[in-house]
Amino acid sequence: MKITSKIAHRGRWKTCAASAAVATSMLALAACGGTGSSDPAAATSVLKIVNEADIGTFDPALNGNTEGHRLDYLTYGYLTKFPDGTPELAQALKPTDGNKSWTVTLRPGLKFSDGSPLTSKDVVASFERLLKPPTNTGEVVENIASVTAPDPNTVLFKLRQPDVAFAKSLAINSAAIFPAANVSSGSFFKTPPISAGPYVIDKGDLASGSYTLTQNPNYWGKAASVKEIDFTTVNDGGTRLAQLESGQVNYAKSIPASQLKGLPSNLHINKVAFPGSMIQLLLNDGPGSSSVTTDPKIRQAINLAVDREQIAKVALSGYMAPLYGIPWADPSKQADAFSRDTTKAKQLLQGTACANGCTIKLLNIADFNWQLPPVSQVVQQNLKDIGINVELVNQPSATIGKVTPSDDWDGMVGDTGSALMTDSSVARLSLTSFQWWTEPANDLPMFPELASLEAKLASAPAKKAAAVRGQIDTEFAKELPWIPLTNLYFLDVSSVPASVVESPIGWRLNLK
Amino acid sequence: MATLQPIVSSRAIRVPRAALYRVIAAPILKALVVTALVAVITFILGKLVLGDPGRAVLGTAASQQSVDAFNANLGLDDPFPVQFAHYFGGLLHGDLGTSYAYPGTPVWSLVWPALQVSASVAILTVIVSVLLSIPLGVLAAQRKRGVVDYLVRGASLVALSIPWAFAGLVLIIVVAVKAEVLPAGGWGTGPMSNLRFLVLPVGTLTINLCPVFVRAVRERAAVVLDEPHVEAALARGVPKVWVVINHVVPNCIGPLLTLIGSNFGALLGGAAIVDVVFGLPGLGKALTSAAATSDLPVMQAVALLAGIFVTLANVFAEIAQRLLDPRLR
Repeated sequence: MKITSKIAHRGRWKTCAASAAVATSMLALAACGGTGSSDPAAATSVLKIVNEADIGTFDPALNGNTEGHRLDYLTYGYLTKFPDGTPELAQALKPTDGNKSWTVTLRPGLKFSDGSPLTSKDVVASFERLLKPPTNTGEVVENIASVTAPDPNTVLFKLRQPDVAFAKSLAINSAAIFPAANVSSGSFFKTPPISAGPYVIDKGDLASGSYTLTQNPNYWGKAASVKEIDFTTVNDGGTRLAQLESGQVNYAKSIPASQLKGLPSNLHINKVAFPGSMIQLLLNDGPGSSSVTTDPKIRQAINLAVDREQIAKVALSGYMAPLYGIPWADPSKQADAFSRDTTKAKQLLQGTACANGCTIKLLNIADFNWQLPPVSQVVQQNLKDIGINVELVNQPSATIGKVTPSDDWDGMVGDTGSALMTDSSVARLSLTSFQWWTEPANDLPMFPELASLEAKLASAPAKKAAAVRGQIDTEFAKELPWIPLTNLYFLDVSSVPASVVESPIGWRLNLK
Repeated sequence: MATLQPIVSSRAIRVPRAALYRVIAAPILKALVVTALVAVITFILGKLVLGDPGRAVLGTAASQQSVDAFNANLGLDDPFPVQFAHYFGGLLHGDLGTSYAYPGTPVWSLVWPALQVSASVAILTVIVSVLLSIPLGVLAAQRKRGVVDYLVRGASLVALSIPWAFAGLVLIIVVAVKAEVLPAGGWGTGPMSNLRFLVLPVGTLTINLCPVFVRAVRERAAVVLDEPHVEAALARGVPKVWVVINHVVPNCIGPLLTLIGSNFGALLGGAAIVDVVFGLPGLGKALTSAAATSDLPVMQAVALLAGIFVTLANVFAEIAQRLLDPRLR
């Protein structure tokens, strides 16, 4: 019996020892592989970015997401810089004919990344391609009547309507310059295209969302300190943050605010501002709607009942600021017309369909941006204070266009990002933001005065623009096609010092 | 005396040719019908829930004219029957169509790499689960109602109750963030580097799948261990390990095959979740990305391939079972 017991014990010991050895070997093996370097010097030369979504195409005229736009600005050449419109490939821009013609002079000796010369012929071919839909360019490019090349270094743009901020318009992500010989070829964008940005796509696999950028040896400007950028894609925000915390990557795109509590001290938040962007309460007040929100008094009451401070602080963890009107680049001081006043809101409801309380149906879009669901919940709480019961109905973003043409909804919290940063484009996009969510409806036919003012602003010289903006603000506060709530930021998190990567502005990563 | 014979032994399996056709042909025919139905249903469902691909791909700034042109280029303004005929005509020629979100890119070139990733995850999970469940299940059966049995069953119950996503996040925090021994997510650049990225996803799925197998093995092993032929073998002095390998384990394969077939659907569902949690470029990620951009051809292809995958798993399980167990022929 003793012998048996000893053997049994030895067997168990052997099993335990073997298990421990296997476990140790596995850990050692895994550890040998490493998960990334936390060496600041390495982080400076190689930027490892984890994206949130895949890029559908290398074609800047067809990619519609932030990831795609960021790649565009890193790898393609533009006449002017996003977002301020200062010259890049262009050396100078000169408006004539009351801002209806713009002459662009190119920098001398420009080259594409493959070393071939970049001339005005390439600029013309690149823009002519954009003039044929489908593209993601919107009205920016549609305003171009013609583009010609009087000589190899000069490009002449003729516009349909005057555009005082055309230099900024040229910085839209789709307005990248490609070689004339290839740009119209159907296969040009199947592989990483040749252009003239600071980086080139060395290797890439769009389907898996992994690609590597290296510096463009023929870039006209100063090379950034980051020599290589590696992109990967992970949909889940928690995993992106975990990758960052473990040193696997050093830059994570768009992390929800709720996951940023207790962020390690070696990580910092890069707030990504999108010019003219906002979180708003869209209302079903378009043409043909029979929703109670078509009543301007009810819209005004809702406007006074929402607590923007609470939304900014509680729902959005203090990362966004209350918005009191149209999100101009230089916000107007309209807080009085938009500050919370439930007493006045209740007075406004007298004599309306909501005088004795009512229920409105708010579409809750939970799968679009993390900001929207918590804001919807605070709006629901706020409106209860004036007797408006809010029924939140979950609605997938992909099929929102199927619901909104009907009357089976009254509102939704949405967000709108601006493609450009001029006052007229902000006004246009703001006033037609309804279209993105509810196409093909458009708010403007319901608000002709606002539509006419928006058109006036687009052609107003700088001196008169401020006055027109004021008129729009006044008319907007009266009509309230939608209710502004807060501005919109996305929160990137990084372990790379600001001396290497500053907070991005919209789609452009600021690499030093 | 017949009861003394094991139902399945490790000896070579001999099946008459006519029976072999019956064993193989029937499940394959059923699989073809199911696959055709899956294709029809995914097409109809996709059309019902599809948003606006043009708007989803081109973004907020695009004009309605551009969005309409984009959709027209894809034939989305064609009548439903035309689109249906076009889709099925393509399928019959092995053409899954062209992606909406990746203009000009054949769907197959997007889905094939994703299928490889998901298949790797699913197959590795099954292998690891089988390898773990057989010794654990047999051990628990041998120590029936003992401490080891209670421990194995208790651990299985706990593991079964953990949601996939939660298990994945815990593994990420413990193994990747705290211990820093494996990557938290993403995908490598070659087969060897990919293996490191597969450890946590496979571990996550194994946490849920292995207990199912363990319980099945335990139940079957407990029955077989009480069989007279096993008792007789032990009484003849055949070593217990030999008895287990030759008589108990082969008898547990049948229930395991059934479970593998019936759990493949759930496993693919789980793989979709781990794709999102771990950022794997598998079918789950392809499906979620396609849903976000209203990329119907990719959604249809993923659903179709998943359906085929599950059907094939069931077919193989059924055929293998019939080959192994003459009573099922």
